[in-house]
Amino acid sequence: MTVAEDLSLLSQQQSIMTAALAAMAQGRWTGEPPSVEAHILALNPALAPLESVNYLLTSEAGPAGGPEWWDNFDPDTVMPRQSTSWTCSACSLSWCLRATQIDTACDEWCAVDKIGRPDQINPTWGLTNIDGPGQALIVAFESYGVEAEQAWLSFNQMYALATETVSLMSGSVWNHWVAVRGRVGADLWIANSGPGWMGVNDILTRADYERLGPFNCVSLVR
Amino acid sequence: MTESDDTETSAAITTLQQQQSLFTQALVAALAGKWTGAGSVEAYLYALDPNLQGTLEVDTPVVQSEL
Repeated sequence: MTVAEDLSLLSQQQSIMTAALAAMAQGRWTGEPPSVEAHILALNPALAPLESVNYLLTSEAGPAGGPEWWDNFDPDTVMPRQSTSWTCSACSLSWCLRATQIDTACDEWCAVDKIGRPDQINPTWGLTNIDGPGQALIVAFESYGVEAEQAWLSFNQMYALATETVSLMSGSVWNHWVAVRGRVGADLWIANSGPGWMGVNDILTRADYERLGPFNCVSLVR
Repeated sequence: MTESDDTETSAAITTLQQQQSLFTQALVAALAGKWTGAGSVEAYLYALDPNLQGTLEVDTPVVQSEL
């Protein structure tokens, strides 16, 4: 075999391993392709017959339930337009509080107070991040007894997280905070108080994410 | 082998090494029961193949601590 043929074979094997991992994530462990079992045998037919066990899958275990804010979460909750140029983080926080019914009465200005004007949010800087990226939002959630955490996430990470919890996020180039409703196809579905800003409305694509990031994300902990 | 061949071979090996690293991290996540969310098997799968986004119907094993 030439080096090129070796590399081609390795690349094919890598594709099969990726497909096997996708089969795991989708609960297709045994049986006809595209199962984990079938992919393993494609990698090495000499391994047949394989022994396997039955895993209890999420679809079979029933709803996990809780926490209450997650059970209450309504991604279709309306996001009003922000009333000033500097309150996008407050709008995103208030949307999250209302969408999860943590605080159904909290509007843009209630959220400004919760974040803390003028040290944590003000007309000059918007969210100041004076205590670290997104920390004031974490403290605001903590005031309701809800834990949140901050991370700089890639698009793949945020996309994977989008159906697991509720998040707020801000792109460094975008200079704008939004909340994450969930996914639409291969894109993120967002609650955006500034529709149209830098060409984004309710959908954030991978290309948008690369163009407007890196993204600072604050997510509720389940 | 030409210089162009060397460059292509080097690029292919780099890609395979990156994929191998992602695959290893995905297995670590699986071992830890992190099937969905940031830093999960699902997230590493999207890094391995972004075309999977919007196509997976995730149905992961239930972790004993969740029962």
